[in-house]
Amino acid sequence: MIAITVALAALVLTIGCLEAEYRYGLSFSARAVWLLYLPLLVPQTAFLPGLQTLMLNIGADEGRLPVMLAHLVFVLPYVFLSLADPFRAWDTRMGTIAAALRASPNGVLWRVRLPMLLRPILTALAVGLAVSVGQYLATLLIGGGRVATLTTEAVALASGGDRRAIGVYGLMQTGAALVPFALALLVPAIVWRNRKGLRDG
Amino acid sequence: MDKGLSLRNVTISKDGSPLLSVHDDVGPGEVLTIMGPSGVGKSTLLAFITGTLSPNFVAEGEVWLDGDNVTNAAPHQRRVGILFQDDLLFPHLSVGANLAFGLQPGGSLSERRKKIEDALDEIGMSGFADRDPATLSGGQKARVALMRMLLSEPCGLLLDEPFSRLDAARRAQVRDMVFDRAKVRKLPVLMVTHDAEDAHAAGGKIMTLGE
Repeated sequence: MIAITVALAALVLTIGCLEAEYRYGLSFSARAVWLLYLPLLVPQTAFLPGLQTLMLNIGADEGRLPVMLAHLVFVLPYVFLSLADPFRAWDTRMGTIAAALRASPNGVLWRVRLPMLLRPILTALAVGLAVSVGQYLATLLIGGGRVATLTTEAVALASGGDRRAIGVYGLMQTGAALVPFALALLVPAIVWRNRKGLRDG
Repeated sequence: MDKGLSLRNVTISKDGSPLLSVHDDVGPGEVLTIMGPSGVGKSTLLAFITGTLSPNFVAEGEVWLDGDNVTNAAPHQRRVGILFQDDLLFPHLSVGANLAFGLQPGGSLSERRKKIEDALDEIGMSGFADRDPATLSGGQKARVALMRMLLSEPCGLLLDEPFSRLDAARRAQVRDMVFDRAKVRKLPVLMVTHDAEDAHAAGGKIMTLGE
């Protein structure tokens, strides 16, 4: 499904950004932050025609990939927003300790930082999935009406009279947003069931 | 070249104004204590030695460890161990896995497990390997943190106010253990503290900054 690819891509980009920020001591300029959050601030009806024109101009007007890119524009800020604070709040002395224990920067990231941040990472992923699942206008406009997702089908059905089909789609949409959040709560609770220090983190 | 840790004309400055300068050698098994009030840059000096100095600071001078200039080495290649005021055990790993984190690759699984068990014996915590670090007492955590650092076979040990979180009874016990273990392994130790008692217990040279 489109949502999973998009949410994972957004997560990888976000972690990449935040890790680069940590490793090289970079910080986001105010402008970059504005650019990132612009898609959230401008109404989609105003924003999307421009994005559509851009996509048409670069020849990306067919199929799923352009739709995914358009989704990414809206998913990335939400994922970034939900992961940035926990990621930055992580005690960097943990990183110093791990490096003193001769773990390479990648080792620190994979063996210490990401496991410790499992819960916020899964939550951010769930947010990304939910946002992507909820994209209607973006899918319709960028996909030229030819890319069918759960949401576009549900909206199309909603104007019809088939209540049973509408009900099924409604439940599926709910599930698509709810299940990832449930997993984001459950998985860390199960994986770290014997780790008191991570229960509230 | 000599064994031990030596700081050569190390000067750290922030925004153009010098913060501190140190030029000293710490031989194997010796302790150098740096004292001074908060904000004088003690921890900054340690960050310089571990290679994690914030870019806000400018540092000059060289750090030599066992005859190698490690001033520009990556933090994980320096072989400098450090202990902080908090134990900072990795909360997602068991006590045994925390200890194993710094073990160098190599050796069979049973050999590695043996090493962990010996290490736990050495700090009087046999059979704790599968415990969750969050369930240990403060003194136990401090001992595990020490042993974890020693198992990674550092060539020098830095202590950043390592005992200030412990209560008075545990404090002397953990402190003696840290200095004993460091002496047995012939490690140069650099401690920063603002506690005079710790400084005297270390029994080494004392340097006071910020006066």
